[in-house]
Amino acid sequence: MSFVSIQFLLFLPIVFLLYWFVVKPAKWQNLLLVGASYVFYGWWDWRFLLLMGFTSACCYAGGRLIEKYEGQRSIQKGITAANVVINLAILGVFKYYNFFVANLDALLSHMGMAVDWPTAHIILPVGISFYTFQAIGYCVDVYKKKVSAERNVVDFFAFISFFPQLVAGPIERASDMLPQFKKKRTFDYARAVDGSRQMLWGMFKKVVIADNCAPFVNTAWENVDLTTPFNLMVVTVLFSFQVYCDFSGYCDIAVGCARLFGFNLRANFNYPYFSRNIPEFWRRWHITLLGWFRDYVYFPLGGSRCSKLRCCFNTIFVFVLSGLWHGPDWSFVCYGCLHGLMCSFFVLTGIKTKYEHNVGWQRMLPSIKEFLMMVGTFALVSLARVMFRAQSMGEAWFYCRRLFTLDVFNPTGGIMGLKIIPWCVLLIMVEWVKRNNNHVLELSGHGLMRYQWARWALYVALVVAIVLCQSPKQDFIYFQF
Amino acid sequence: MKRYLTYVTIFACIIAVLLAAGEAIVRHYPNSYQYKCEWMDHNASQVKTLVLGGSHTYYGIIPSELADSTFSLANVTQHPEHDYWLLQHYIDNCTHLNTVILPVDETNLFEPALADGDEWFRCAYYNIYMGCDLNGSNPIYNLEIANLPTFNRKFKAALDYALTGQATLDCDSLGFGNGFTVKNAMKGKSLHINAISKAERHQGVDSTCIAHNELYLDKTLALCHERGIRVIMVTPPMLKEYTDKVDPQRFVTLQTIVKKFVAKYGVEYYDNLNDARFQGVDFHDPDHLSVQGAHKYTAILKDTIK
Repeated sequence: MSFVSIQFLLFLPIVFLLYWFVVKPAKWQNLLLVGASYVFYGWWDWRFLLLMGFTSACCYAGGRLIEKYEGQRSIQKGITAANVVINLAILGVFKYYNFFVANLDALLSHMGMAVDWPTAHIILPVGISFYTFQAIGYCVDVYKKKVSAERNVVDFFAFISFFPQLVAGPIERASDMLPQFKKKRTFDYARAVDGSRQMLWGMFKKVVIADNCAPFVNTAWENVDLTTPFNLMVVTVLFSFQVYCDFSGYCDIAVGCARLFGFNLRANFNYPYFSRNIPEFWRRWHITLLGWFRDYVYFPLGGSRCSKLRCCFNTIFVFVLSGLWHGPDWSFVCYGCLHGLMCSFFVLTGIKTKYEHNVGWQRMLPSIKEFLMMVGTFALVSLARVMFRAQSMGEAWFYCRRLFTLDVFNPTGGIMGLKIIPWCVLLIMVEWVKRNNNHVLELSGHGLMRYQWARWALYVALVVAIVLCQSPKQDFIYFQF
Repeated sequence: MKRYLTYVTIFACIIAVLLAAGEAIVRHYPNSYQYKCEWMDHNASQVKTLVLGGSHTYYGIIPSELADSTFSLANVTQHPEHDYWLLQHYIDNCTHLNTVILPVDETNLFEPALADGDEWFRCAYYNIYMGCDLNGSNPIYNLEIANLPTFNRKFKAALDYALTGQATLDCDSLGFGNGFTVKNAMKGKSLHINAISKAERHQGVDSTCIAHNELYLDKTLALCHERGIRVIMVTPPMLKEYTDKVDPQRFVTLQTIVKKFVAKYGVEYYDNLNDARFQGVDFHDPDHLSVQGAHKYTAILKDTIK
């Protein structure tokens, strides 16, 4: 079930009312959440439920076993490793099997050992990468004693399947989420209102901006040879807006929806397009994924507490993995590698990438230096996304060859996406003004927004825009991961 | 909680009122369904030749050039079920009707019923503007707003209409679809790419869909047979690049079904699917004729059925 659907519009109020009015004790509320989450997820394909149930059961049992063998580190290590392997194996089979088979086949053929490996027609379960990583994180945390093993099976299943963040994150940590499932929940008006506003803003970004960028981006990508270099540049920028509004829109809806049920999820975005360099961008973009890789891969490899070269290797390795996490294609690997190289540049040169404050701190506008840094970072990120959007390396290469010509600044032949560009500009302006808030609709009660009528007018305007700017429905991009 | 629910309810009511206003505005915007219904209500008795079918005949046959007193009741994605309903609805008033042009092609034979397909929202147009009750009282088949992307487009057109008084009806006075352009047909893609992507969607033979569509084609033919109306079954031209890539089994099945109807009712059948006289410029997209192509096809059909 997608957040942007009539089904969800009916599903959410029903679950909300049952949750707060019918099943008040926390344990029953958790059971309701498990049931609702399984309905939500099974709406795509009920067979996916078996997989999620299996993953949950394995991790639950793994956690309990690790606890049972307290003091026997080698057995605990074996159980953790087995759990990680099982989860990665599931992910590998459903997501990467054909990719590895095809590449192994090509490699062996190249070496003169042609083997006809069977490929399989496998449907990728929605959001498998998200909940698998969450489950792996739990096992490792139990092993490292960061969190104690969950005994209540309902709470654990609720943690893995919690529907607001199930299919596209944020990837949560057991130490943050499990205690929230234990707590008695009381309805908090301010939190519910804030959650509703965040959902509204997420919906606006998804429907009005992302979905309206999509037709231009798709058309250009399907007709690269017929699109002018200038328009390819426009589309490269539009895709950056599309993917940002699509994914951060989803996360806003997820975080806002969780707040309606009394849960706090981690923020996954922090105004990433106001980053002054690539490492800062990655501290603001898909924060929970990079945080996961940092804690479970980068730090165990030595992190930055080693030689610069080793640190560069660690960085590139983590980014390659994060690229591969997105999908089984060399273009994703290159996308990750490119970002790894860009981040390594900062490691090698020692250029400062961390700042005490947000850009333009206590100023209306950024300094010229900050502005140029933001534009440069945005340009690099957008160009790297050519590989993210391409279906293959060949397609990315062809796109780049068309893009990087002298005609790239020649707008004759018309400009694509003129209809959506004002919305993108508006988004940037609004986000700039609200860059120190958790989300754009976190209203402080100052200025015009202290009046209820003004707030309501804003909400109505956003809903009207959502209704009137609907373009043919597009799935959330990150569902495919 | 009470405060939150009160506010949410009030907000939902405001939105509902605005949506209802939007629905009313859109319903006042002239459209081909309403026009055809009103035209038939007033002029059905004059019609001698009636064109049925989906977009292939809607955009492909020009009534004013085909024969005297011809009217096109065809419309985009119109399935045999709706063809039958329309014919049954108007046949008593069509006192001079002697010919029905009925297309049989891979759209109206192999696609699911309108309510189950991608263009399900068009059911609302038949229900609201033509009084068709095929899909009962289900709100999604009785509200323009049930499909927001098309509602949005129509709402903007309705506002333009309110301001300028100019409306785009999408069809001429005799029901020929003239609102299709290369721009909206191709969506910026080349004819070649469109042919490939469209053909990719048109693969396989779904026996449930065929059985459903065949049933209504049969009912239509039986009705005409009963009333002594001449039926001309046609398969309009399509781009060869497209037909080459569509599942060939579809065309085999199509021919089998047509042969069955020809034997059963003695209807005439003219197949122009791969007619070499039609080239790229005759098409707006791989399976829709351009205005130039429609002129050509209508002339060919006119000579054929004389």
